Amino acid sequence: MRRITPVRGAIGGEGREAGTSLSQLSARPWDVIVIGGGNAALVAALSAADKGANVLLLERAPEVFRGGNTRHTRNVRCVHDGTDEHVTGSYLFDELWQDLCAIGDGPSNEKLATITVRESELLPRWMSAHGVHWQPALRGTLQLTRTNRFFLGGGKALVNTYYRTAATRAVTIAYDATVEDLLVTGERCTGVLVTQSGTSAELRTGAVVCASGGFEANVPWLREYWGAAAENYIVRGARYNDGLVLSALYRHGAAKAGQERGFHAIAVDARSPRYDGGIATRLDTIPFSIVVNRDARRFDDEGEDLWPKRYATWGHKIALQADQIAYSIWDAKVDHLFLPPLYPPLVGDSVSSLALHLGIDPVALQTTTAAYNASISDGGRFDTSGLDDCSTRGLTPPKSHWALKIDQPPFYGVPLRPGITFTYLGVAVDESARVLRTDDSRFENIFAAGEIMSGNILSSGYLAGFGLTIGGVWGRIAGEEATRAAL
Amino acid sequence: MPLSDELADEARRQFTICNACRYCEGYCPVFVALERSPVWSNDRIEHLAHLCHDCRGCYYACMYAPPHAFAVNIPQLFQEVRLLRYEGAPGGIRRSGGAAHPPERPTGTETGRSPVEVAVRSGRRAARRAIGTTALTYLVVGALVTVVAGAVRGLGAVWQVRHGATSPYAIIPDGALVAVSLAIALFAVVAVALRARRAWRATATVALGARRREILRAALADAAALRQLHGGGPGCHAERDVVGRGRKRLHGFVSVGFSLCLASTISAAVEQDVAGVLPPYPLASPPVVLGLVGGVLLAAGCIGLSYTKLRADRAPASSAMLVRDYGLLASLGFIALSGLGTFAARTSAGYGVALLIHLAAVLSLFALAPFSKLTHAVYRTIALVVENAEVAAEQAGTLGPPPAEAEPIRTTLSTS
Ligand SMILES: Cc1cc2nc3c(=O)[nH]c(=O)nc-3n(C[C@H](O)[C@H](O)[C@H](O)COP(=O)(O)OP(=O)(O)OC[C@H]3O[C@@H](n4cnc5c(N)ncnc54)[C@H](O)[C@@H]3O)c2cc1C
Ligand code: SF4
Ligand code: SF4
Repeated sequence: MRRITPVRGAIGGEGREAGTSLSQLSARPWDVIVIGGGNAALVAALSAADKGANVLLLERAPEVFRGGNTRHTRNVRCVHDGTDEHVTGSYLFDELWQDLCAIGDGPSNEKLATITVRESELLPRWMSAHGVHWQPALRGTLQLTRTNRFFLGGGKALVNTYYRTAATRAVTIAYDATVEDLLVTGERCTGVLVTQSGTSAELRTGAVVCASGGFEANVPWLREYWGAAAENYIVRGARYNDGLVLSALYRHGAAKAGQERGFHAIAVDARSPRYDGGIATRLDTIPFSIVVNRDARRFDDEGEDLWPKRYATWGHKIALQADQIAYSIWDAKVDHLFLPPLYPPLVGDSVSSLALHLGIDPVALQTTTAAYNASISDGGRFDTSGLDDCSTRGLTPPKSHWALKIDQPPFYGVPLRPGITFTYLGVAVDESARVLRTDDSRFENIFAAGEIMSGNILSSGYLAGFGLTIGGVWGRIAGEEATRAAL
Repeated sequence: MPLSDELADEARRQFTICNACRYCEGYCPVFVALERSPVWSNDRIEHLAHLCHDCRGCYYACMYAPPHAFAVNIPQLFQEVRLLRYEGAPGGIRRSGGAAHPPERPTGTETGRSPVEVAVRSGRRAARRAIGTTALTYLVVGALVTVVAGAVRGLGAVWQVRHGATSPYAIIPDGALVAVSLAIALFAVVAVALRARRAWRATATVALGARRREILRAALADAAALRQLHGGGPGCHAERDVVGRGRKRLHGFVSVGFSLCLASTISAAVEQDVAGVLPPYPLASPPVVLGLVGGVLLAAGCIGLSYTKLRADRAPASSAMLVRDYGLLASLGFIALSGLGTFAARTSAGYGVALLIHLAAVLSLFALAPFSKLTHAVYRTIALVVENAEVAAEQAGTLGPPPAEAEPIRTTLSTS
């Protein structure tokens, strides 16, 4: 058993005194300061330490909630030739590239996207070398997949592993440490302004890596682009990702990348916690149900395509509805076909009693279900493993597949809201992960990795598992380049 | 004691979250088994609790672990459930009633106390009761052997100074010792067997059928290897950042040491009743060698495991179970040390007293065995048989697998 220095407040890196207080941390300059405590930050910190830098990692969250959105992740998408046991088949450069081009408007910056895809191939080995364990192929029902590899235990285990590895390297870690601003003179950053439990300090550094995620937890900021609707969004990840560092970078003249309204959002249960509900609050009921809005009207095709291809579009769709609320409604026939929702569904013996429980107009809901039922002719082949023949006729909007009448009591319903996974708007970077400025120059020693620069690669749309790929690839580049800039 | 409704509801609440999350599938078969039949009867909850080997990987990996509002703490929950089965004593975690299982952990119970307060209180109560019962058993059994020894040989014999190694029968007569030990051992074996049968009947989901041998072999191999303490690769946790095979090794010391001690006793019976060689036995004889090696391993394992537990993180532990853990380790450690002590004292005046103390400790352990943590080995093995049988049935296609229609849903799990 390997015992690691107890981690309270801060971990001392190898052979170093653990110093938690800001005055201790500000006693001497650091080679590299990494802002953030999720995947991108940890990969950057470890890479910088591997290259010989003295690293300080500043995580704003308290230790128990460290790790940002990365806490909630599950798998990572990398190019591979299929020769290891944690994936099936092979997934080569061209295929990942095509997958990337197929989503949304395709990659924003082809050069950076190419680097991401190319370097992704080296990521799994790097991860293993830094302590990450992969999910074994198990007996029973578990299956590995071809495109995405699963690390053992999910994102919090991943983060724990990286922190544990960092404790054995030249990485010092401070929790509850919020970076408020960067100290910038011209094109050089000389340090960062940090607050920790009410006190502030300026910490000096040779280079800085900004890996502080998006701004999805900042409702006022989201309001700027979404208006009052933003008040009704549920934030699936960390409450700490409020974009403080991103806005500081903009103040110092960093160039933007990504769309202002760009975000990844899925349908989550409206009863979920406002923040940090993670993976468990998502709902897989939609293709088996009809989805109605506040006025009990359908507004989109619930059976447009296979659910894994469409599930990420529903957050956006609900965000555009009145009050940003919707209801997924099904009956006893299909109740066993999907993962049981986290929150118990509301139940009614009739459609109208269900409507009353859901708090929507019973007459309107009955009209909607009657019209929907009337558009379905019995006898089509129902098959959820592929696109089947069960579709509505003459209904707008249609339900193209898996359309079964809603006629067998009891009737079930859950309220849905948009659950934001992350935002795309970030800072523009070059191939060395250096942050670009609006005047087309670049900062000498400010680097960015992860969600904060994902807008360079993803314009819109999202590939499952690619968030960690971006953080891993650019974390490595940023960590190494920052070390080069500092030493 | 059957699983209380409150605890079962709390289990269903946490399982609902795990079933919607499934991140821990790689650590152990518990999660896959949990998903296999997502309606969790009280018996099913018990089965899953025994299938868990407490590696704690799932606690440190859980983004919903306290202080998150969902308060998922599977290892602690399972300890509470197992405890009820071991000895019928309630542990700590309780939740207020309510048919539905909203994922947030309720903050208060019907008595107005928080679940944490209730846990601490009832944990303490249960601990006091456990300590009381154990102490009482030791006293009764200790008195019994002393009275038997005194009545037959006279208490003076206990203190007699001898030259050369002494036979235990100089202190307590052969017949009396055998009678008392056999009675207690028989009671223990029958009681454990009855409880095991009940557990099997309650939790078995599929008949073993033609693959019986294969299934049993696989289950015993899993049990012997403590495979589930591998945590899917890295090993088990003592703390968040203390991961490895250490706990498993120490547990191996205890179980191998314990088995060698048993073997020593059996070999002594064989020497005596088959070969006709009466004690004391020379140093190079099987009873002495097995006893010495076993005793040292057992003592080392108990001390090591206690030390690990003392340093371990309390958060994923049930305080009530912790008391039982220390209790069992103390009993076993004491047996090992008193056995070694008796051996060391065999030419001295202390031999008689040492022997009586050792005998009392051993007999008490067996008298309490059916209701103690010692039975965990039995329940876990049963759970492993059930699990291996389910896997075999699943492979053979005879266990209703998750409906084929559910496949596309499973694939959404690879998305974010
Ligand atoms: C429920 C869920 C599931 C997901 N599943 C997957 C998946 O399976 N695969 C995948 O690839 N992606 C997944 N994603 C997306 C993925 O989480 C992100 O793409 C990725 O984690 C981003 O990593 P990051 O390091 O850039 O940001 P984060 O992990 O969010 O880290 C940001 C860090 O910065 C810290 N921070 C913020 N502001 C400050 C400040 N001012 N000072 C100091 N520190 C600060 C935060 O506390 C946090 O530690 C998922 C997201 C969610 C919400
Ligand atoms: S213990 Fe936590 S992380 Fe693991 S499956 Fe359950 S809810 Fe998910
Ligand atoms: S064996 Fe480990 S991972 Fe499995 S349930 Fe028990 S503590 Fe969790």
